Amino acid sequence: MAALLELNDVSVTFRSRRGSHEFRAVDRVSLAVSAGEIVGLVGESGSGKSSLARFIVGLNQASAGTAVFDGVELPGRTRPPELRRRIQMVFQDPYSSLDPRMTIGQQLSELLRVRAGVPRAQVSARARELLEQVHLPADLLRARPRRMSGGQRQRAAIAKALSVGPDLLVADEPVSALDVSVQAGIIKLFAELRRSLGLTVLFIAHDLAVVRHLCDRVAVMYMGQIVEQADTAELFRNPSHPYTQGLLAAVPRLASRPVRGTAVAGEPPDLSRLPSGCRFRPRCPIARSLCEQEEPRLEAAGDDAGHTAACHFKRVPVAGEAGTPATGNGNDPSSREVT
Amino acid sequence: MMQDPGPDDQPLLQVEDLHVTVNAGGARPDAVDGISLTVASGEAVGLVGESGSGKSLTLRAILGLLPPGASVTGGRVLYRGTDLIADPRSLRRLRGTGISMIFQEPMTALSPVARVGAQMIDAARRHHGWSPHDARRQAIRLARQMGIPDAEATLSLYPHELSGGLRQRVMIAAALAGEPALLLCDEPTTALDVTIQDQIIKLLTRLRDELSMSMLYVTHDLAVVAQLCDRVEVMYAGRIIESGPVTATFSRPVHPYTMGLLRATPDVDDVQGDLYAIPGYAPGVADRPTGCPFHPRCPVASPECQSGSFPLLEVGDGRATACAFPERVARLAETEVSS
Ligand SMILES: Nc1ncnc2c1ncn2[C@@H]1O[C@H](COP(=O)(O)OP(=O)(O)OP(=O)(O)O)[C@@H](O)[C@H]1O
Ligand SMILES: Nc1ncnc2c1ncn2[C@@H]1O[C@H](COP(=O)(O)OP(=O)(O)OP(=O)(O)O)[C@@H](O)[C@H]1O
Ligand code: SF4
Ligand code: SF4
Ligand SMILES: [Mg+2]
Ligand SMILES: [Mg+2]
Repeated sequence: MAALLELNDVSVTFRSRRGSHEFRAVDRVSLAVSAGEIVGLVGESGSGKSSLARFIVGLNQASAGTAVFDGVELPGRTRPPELRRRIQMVFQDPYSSLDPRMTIGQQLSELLRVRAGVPRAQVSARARELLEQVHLPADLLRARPRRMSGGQRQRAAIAKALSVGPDLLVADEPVSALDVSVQAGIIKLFAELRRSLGLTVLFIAHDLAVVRHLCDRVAVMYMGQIVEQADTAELFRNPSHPYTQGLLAAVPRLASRPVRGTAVAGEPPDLSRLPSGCRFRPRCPIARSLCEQEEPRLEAAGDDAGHTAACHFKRVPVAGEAGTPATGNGNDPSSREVT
Repeated sequence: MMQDPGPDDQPLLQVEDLHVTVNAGGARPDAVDGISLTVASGEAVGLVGESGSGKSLTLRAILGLLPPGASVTGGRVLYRGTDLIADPRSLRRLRGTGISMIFQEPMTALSPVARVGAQMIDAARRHHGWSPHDARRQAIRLARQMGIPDAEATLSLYPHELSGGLRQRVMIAAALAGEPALLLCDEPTTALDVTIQDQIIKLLTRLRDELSMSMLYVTHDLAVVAQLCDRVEVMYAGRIIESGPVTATFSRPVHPYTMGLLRATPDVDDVQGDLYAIPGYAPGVADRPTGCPFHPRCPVASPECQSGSFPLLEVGDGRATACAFPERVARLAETEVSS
């Protein structure tokens, strides 16, 4: 199946605060999202998740690379309204897409009339239908965002994004600010919208457990690059990149279970002073001298189709021993030298 | 008349029937509505609950640091038997040396215009009467203990020059410099990456052992409590609705709200079973329901739950619940989560 969205070596460059130099917040990212798929994007703060998301919806420009959406290359600068309509974004803070002065009904009606071209006579019925789709009571049409709870606001923001009939929803940490009791409802809502509307979602999160529950596929970002990508079940069963392993090990658990691997130590270095070779090297527990000399590229990790990792010594599962700590690439782990 | 316990078996901290009122549109509702809890010497107690349940106000009331608009209207806060509310002078003496507090956002606790080294040991320096030279030596020792890399250089920086994780370490160092017996924590890792959160949790666990310090730890993340605490107090709408040892409480909760929270928390190791979303939303301070405050969202509520009082009652094994029908919780435990 052809991808709905295909990014090829996309970079997003910013100038540092002091203006002295440029750095790549997104560094040669390639990613394909198929229609009807929910793809998770995870990584630490500053890894470039939002920068990539904002590029996809047209709020950031790429400094290099191309993006193809439904067979059409996305233009570098201004996007025609039709393209903008088809790719919508939902933010962590729903306030950023809600107008505090207008009721939810007014905001939806305006979008339906102006952007979605719904005939006037059908606008109010359609607005009700949208609220139903996101499981909000119809009387909230008359409410302003201030009067609503955090979860209700996020549902309203999703309803606004849906009102123009998008094909792709880019959701940037839509549940990160919500209480866990409410978060579960929003996670289910995304799953349901994919089922009922065939919506495609790029779902950004820092909570790996949330991603595991919702997404079909996951891409792990580190300092502007995707360092590992796989189907969700495969990624959590056989994390291959030391960074992915370390992220997983850092997640606090409700039940005391043995956790594989060691959590990532240290903090990500400054993007403007990238280490030579592999950018994860300063924090990597298994780095060797090759890692200093050569930047690893995303390559197949194991037999699972679509599982790739960017590590010279990625852990590759041997057939039939999924889930057990395996040896890296046929290299003898006992001969590891730490640089 | 209760027998006066000796100083050894007296809990370090004993909060009795604490009430805190706040301004809410002309009314003065009890945001904290009669909380009682104890922290024994060397014990770590988690205080969990949804946003707005009153966790921060409880913690701040203990240390006499309530925000404008909030005030204590009843109850006692006994520290080694002394009532801190009745005796604010002894409270001032205790701050920093007997009891310290760390916050979610270290910038609120650190001065932007002083170097972190000086701030770190400010309280301790006054307390011990250290010379500038001794103070600097102590600061470096403490910074190393906190795992702050490049301690000497880092201490001469200003807070804004540090990453979020380092700032949090500095704040913890400042809080611990006076070697307090009790550390109050208000979501100190909520704004941090899981990798940094994991490092801070391990740091606090180690320090707790080394300094045989007690902790009262506020968070909305049950998994963090599972990692750090011996006992847990679950808050809902200004009250404690369940209390007990962490392991027992999380494996067999005795209040439907606790069970709901546990079932709503996604598990990073497992995707068995559907996520549960607690229906509805947590009430605001001004519109808390009568009777059992959880009744509008409770899956096993009955008409008796809508009025009357629902105090926290002991159910054995150091556990307590405010649900008047714990047998319903047991029944609930047997049902599968349905969507
Ligand atoms: N408009 C901008 N101008 C300059 N720098 C920027 C801009 N937007 C982002 N950055 C920088 O780019 C890097 C990546 O930021 P980005 O917001 O994409 O990260 P993120 O993965 O979304 O992090 P978080 O989890 O904190 O949201 C950071 O160093 C950030 O400071
Ligand atoms: N200074 C204040 N004036 C008026 N109302 C307040 C004040 N501080 C807190 N409140 C209200 O009291 C309630 C409890 O607040 P508190 O900050 O203790 O909640 P919390 O459990 O810490 O929530 P969160 O998880 O969001 O930090 C909230 O509804 C809040 O709006
Ligand atoms: S390439 Fe080397 S430094 Fe990078 S993640 Fe792999 S082992 Fe670690
Ligand atoms: S008292 Fe009633 S409403 Fe409250 S938790 Fe128990 S069953 Fe539910
Ligand atoms: Mg972001
Ligand atoms: Mg709080």
